[in-house]
Amino acid sequence: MIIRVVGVSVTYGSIKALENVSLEVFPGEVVSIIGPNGSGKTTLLKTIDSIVKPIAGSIYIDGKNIYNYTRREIAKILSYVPQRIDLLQNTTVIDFVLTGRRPYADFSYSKVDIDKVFEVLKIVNAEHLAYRKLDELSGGELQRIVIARALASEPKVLLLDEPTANLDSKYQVEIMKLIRRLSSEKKVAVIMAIHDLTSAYRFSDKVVMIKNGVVVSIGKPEDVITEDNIWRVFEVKAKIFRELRAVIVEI
Amino acid sequence: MSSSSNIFLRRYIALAVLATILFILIPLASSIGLYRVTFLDIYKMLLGYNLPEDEFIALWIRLRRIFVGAIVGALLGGAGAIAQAVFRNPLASPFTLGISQAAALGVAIALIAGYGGTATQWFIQFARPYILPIAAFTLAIIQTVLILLLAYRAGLTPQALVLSSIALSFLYQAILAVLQYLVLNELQIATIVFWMFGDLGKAGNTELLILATTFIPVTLAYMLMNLDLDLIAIGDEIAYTSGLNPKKFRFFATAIAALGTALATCFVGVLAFLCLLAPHIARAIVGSSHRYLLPASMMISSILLIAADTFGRTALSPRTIPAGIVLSFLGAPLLIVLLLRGSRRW
Ligand SMILES: Nc1ncnc2c1ncn2[C@@H]1O[C@H](COP(=O)(O)OP(=O)(O)OP(=O)(O)O)[C@@H](O)[C@H]1O
Ligand SMILES: [Mg+2]
Repeated sequence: MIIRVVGVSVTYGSIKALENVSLEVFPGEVVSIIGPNGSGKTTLLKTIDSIVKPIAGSIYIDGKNIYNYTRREIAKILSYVPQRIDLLQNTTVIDFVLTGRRPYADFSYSKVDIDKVFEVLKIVNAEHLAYRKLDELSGGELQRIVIARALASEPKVLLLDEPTANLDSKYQVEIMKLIRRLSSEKKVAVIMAIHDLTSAYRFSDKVVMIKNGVVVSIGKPEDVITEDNIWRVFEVKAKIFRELRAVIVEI
Repeated sequence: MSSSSNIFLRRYIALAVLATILFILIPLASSIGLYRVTFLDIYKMLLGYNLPEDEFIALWIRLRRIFVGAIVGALLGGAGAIAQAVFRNPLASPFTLGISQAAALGVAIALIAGYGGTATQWFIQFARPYILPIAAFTLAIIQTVLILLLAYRAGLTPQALVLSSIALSFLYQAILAVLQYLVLNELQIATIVFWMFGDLGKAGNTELLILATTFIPVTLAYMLMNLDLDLIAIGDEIAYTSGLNPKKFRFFATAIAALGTALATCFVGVLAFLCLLAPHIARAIVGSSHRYLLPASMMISSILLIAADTFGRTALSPRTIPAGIVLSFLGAPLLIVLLLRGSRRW
């Protein structure tokens, strides 16, 4: 599935959150959206999943305007993972991941749905957590479960909002490797908002750099994540080690 | 994986155990009381044996209140589980959101307006009892809209929402009090005040019939929402991306819960805490998947209500304490325990 974002503008009341943003995402591509706080990363993800309605521009899935899809059809194509979820007590992992099958179920979940749940838990290496309570998981475990829930609807495109926030280095790498694996093995396209520039540099095929809702630069990581661009967008001096594919911010 | 069927099997077993307890509790509770009968007599009666007429009447009155308790309890237990999910709030319930009190006010207004019936010394006989659920539901829906407006427009935190709902329910009680002083004589005041503490003995045959016939479609409506309740409990955005319109569903689900609450409240009065406690106990037993949580919460609520009523009938016999008061004694401390436990998490 090819996702095309064409000339999208979004406002919240009088606040302009996105202005004339265009972007193309191909199957299996990993796209990172980078930019300072409040630059519109979350808004862009929500607009792609049509949670937020643009005032101008359109989103196309395989050439068809997203408004011509039903919400249920969209739910089978796109999966959005917000940065934070509130949890009710006593929710078991398996029940939580099962809710990801809602677009395929009407009154109750079947054996097929349960099998699918174990399949996605296996993908994120969390089968052993199936019967644990969500509020008893570590940050990295929970993040994997939340991604598993998103995968349960067998999406073609995964939208992740800061999937590695609050995770230690080990879990960060683990999640990023998982994302790469999804893209190469399952041909799932991943669009993610991310703050860590090194991760964006290392793990993405395409980087979108935005500031104040405007795309400053878009393209291959090495073309977008440059010392100049970082200075323009984040107003900090940075050093880029190309051979290490690492970005270090100077003080 | 075999353990996956285990977890679901365990939940079915838990439900079966609850159903068995309820099934045993009904004849057991009706065999307890001033007029001594045995377990077996109840079954005889249910199976259509001819009993002496006075015995039959005594038994039927007792059995009737237990049936009423089972149905009312189930309606409230389900409504409580729905409220917790759609408001994503462990403190939400028809009682803490003021829906029960609003329904009670609706009943009082209907009674005072003379539509519902006349007060007699022992219980209220309804000339046209079907008016009462309608009156109760009208006010329950008004309260539903009010709390949804509070939640959306004022963007209240879960705690603030419950607090302002409690404030509203005090307002309803105040309106009720004013009405009493203006309109009613002492005897009538006594019966209306009684309304604020639910009592199963208030419902007669017609009331039981109305409850029994409405119970089935309401339960069906509860159960049909189970997958969407699971979704909305996670969050509005997630629910939306999985294909659910959260605002529409929240209103619809709360309205169904309000309907269940109105039916439960209109013939027996306000039963404090029941709809708050039952879902919490159920959640601890079967987890938070509504396919299991709803029936568990309904049955636990029925069991608690019948137990509270039986205790109220027998503890100070021949005096009867209304089940609503027994539940307050039980519920108030449990609510505090809940808050103490919960403060770590919420
Ligand atoms: N629901 C909303 N109502 C009003 N303004 C909003 C809303 N959501 C976001 N905004 C505003 O839109 C702009 C873009 O916000 P957005 O959340 O997309 O930024 P972001 O890049 O995700 O930031 P962060 O890195 O902090 O997550 C900000 O100025 C923000 O204040
Ligand atoms: Mg954001």
